[in-house]
Amino acid sequence: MTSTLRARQIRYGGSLHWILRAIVAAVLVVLVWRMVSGAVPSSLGKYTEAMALAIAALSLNLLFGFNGQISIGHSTFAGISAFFLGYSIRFWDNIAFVSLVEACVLCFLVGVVIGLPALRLKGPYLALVTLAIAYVWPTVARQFIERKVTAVTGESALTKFLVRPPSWTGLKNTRQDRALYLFWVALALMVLCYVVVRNLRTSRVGRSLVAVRDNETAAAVMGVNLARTKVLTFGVSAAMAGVSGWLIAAEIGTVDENSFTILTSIKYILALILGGAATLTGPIVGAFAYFFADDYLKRHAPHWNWLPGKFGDGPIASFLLGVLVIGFVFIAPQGIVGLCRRIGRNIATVVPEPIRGPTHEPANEPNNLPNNLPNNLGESTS
Amino acid sequence: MSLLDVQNVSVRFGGIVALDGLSFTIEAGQICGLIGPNGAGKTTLFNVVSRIYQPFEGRVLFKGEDLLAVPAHAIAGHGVARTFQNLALFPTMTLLENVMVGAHCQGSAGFVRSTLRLKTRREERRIRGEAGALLARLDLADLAHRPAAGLPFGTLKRLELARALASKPDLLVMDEPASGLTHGEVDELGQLIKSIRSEFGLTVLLVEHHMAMVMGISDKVVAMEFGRTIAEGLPAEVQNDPHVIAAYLGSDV
Ligand SMILES: Nc1ncnc2c1ncn2[C@@H]1O[C@H](COP(=O)(O)OP(=O)(O)OP(=O)(O)O)[C@@H](O)[C@H]1O
Ligand SMILES: [Mg+2]
Repeated sequence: MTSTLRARQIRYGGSLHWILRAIVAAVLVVLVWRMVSGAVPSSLGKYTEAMALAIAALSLNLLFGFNGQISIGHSTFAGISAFFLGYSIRFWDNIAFVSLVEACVLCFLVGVVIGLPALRLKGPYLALVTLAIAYVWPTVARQFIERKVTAVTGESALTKFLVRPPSWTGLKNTRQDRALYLFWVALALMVLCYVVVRNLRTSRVGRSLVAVRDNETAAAVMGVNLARTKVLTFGVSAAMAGVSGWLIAAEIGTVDENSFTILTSIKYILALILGGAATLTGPIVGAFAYFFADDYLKRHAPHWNWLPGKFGDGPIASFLLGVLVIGFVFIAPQGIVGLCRRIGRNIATVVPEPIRGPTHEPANEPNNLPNNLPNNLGESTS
Repeated sequence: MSLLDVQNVSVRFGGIVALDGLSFTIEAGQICGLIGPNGAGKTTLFNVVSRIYQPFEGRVLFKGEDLLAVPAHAIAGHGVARTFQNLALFPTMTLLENVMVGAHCQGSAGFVRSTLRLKTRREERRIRGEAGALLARLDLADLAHRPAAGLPFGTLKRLELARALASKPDLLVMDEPASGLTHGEVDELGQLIKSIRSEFGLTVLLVEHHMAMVMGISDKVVAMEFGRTIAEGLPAEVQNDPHVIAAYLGSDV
């Protein structure tokens, strides 16, 4: 079976693997450094928003990618958290990070409550329930603003809440420094959320999540508590979506009922699918790809007035992006990360530690090993 | 005291009576063959024992304890593991991960501990090591890091067995393990079931249409028809029982 096309095998945890990891880490550090050095507030803000989108996609990946529960209502958790930040800073003089923790707890609890119907509903039905929640949110948000904000200050949105850099950072309360500060906060939160999802996925809990997605009955028979697993996953995912909403609110500094709509949820889903659902890095890659493709199209779409009629106007950007994402997913169903893996597999593969051969058998059972069981059949699929 | 004591269990699906006052017992260490024509209710009984179906009457005692008071997800922890008539694996997961899910009840890390990686390392290493050893025992070590999807049927059947063993059961319930296997494979499977029984100290409850195998390896055979026990005893006795012969008359066995 010698073939010239055989991919190079890299042992997991071996020195070559560590060198590759170090190279990837170095590239990432350079990328971040390029982002911050000499950047103006508006471009820093774009990175922050892209990272907020990445956090939302990470949260959806945990729920949908790994656990198989669809949610079109994640914008609502982001909205709750954003409103919580705005209101608590404006009216309670809350510290921003205290707001973050409180908002996460709140989103977790709301997520658990909304996750309860998920125990009875599957697939499209669950999607519909979460869709209804996303649909209702703007009305609830409008009511909240009218009663709690407009009645007190006369404003028609939550505004003028700023997340200021604390003094120990050495940053001042200027537009530039605030943007820089939020950029680092966003990066830290995104890495944190990534680590949470990764730790969960590579643990006992993560295996049970995927088991529930793959075969609920079998998972239950193996001892997985379906109700607990699904509801807690919904809660954790909702809390993480809350982190995303908090970050967006802190970045933009103003929220109203139109800040988090069904379209926001669809943006999360598209970013996740584009990057690759059920992969660890997919949500981050997808969020950046989606955000900057969107940004590019929005800036350049007005020039496409050769398109007939109204298509030449602004809205073409979102439309075009949707078509592009769907087209791309058609070619690469596993998203960008899946595509890269498929290509990369021909060059080199990372192979985990092989399992040791059969351990010695009890001597009193001489012919108990089924030598002729078709243990070589598996090779035929490679 | 019997290890498993099924007493007068009845299950209905709408108008269909799938189990109709079924009773039988299994002693610890036995291999018990459960036979019966298609639709007799064998799989339904398995689903009662693994708490997927709730019977409307009857009791199931396991080690003297009422199994019907145990929630579905705690059954594995009580020492009952099973394989499925139609494969019920986790196709996107690797073989190693499939077996590690089988050991779910052998671990304790929950959401908080898993997220923070709090004292999970030793547990993970133990579960991974045991899963690897089981794969090696069933000649699946070479495929350990392959996803289960797309592997041959016989391989996946052995994977289901490995996954069931990972929970360190006292009672292993196997639903038609020989279906879809070639003639030679069936003989080896019989030997394999006997040897894992003594290796892992199991009691085995086995549903099988392959009569030669059931009669060859079982210490006891229970025959059922229309959800009722029609004969119970040594393989030779059950084989010659007039009720059993009548039940199978005209069928292809
Ligand atoms: N979930 C269900 N809903 C409705 N009817 C069911 C259900 N499960 C089983 N039945 C019915 O109960 C009866 C017993 O089915 P069961 O699957 O237990 O038979 P079996 O002995 O396992 O047969 P086989 O040898 O074909 O596997 C059948 O008539 C079947 O149609
Ligand atoms: Mg059956």
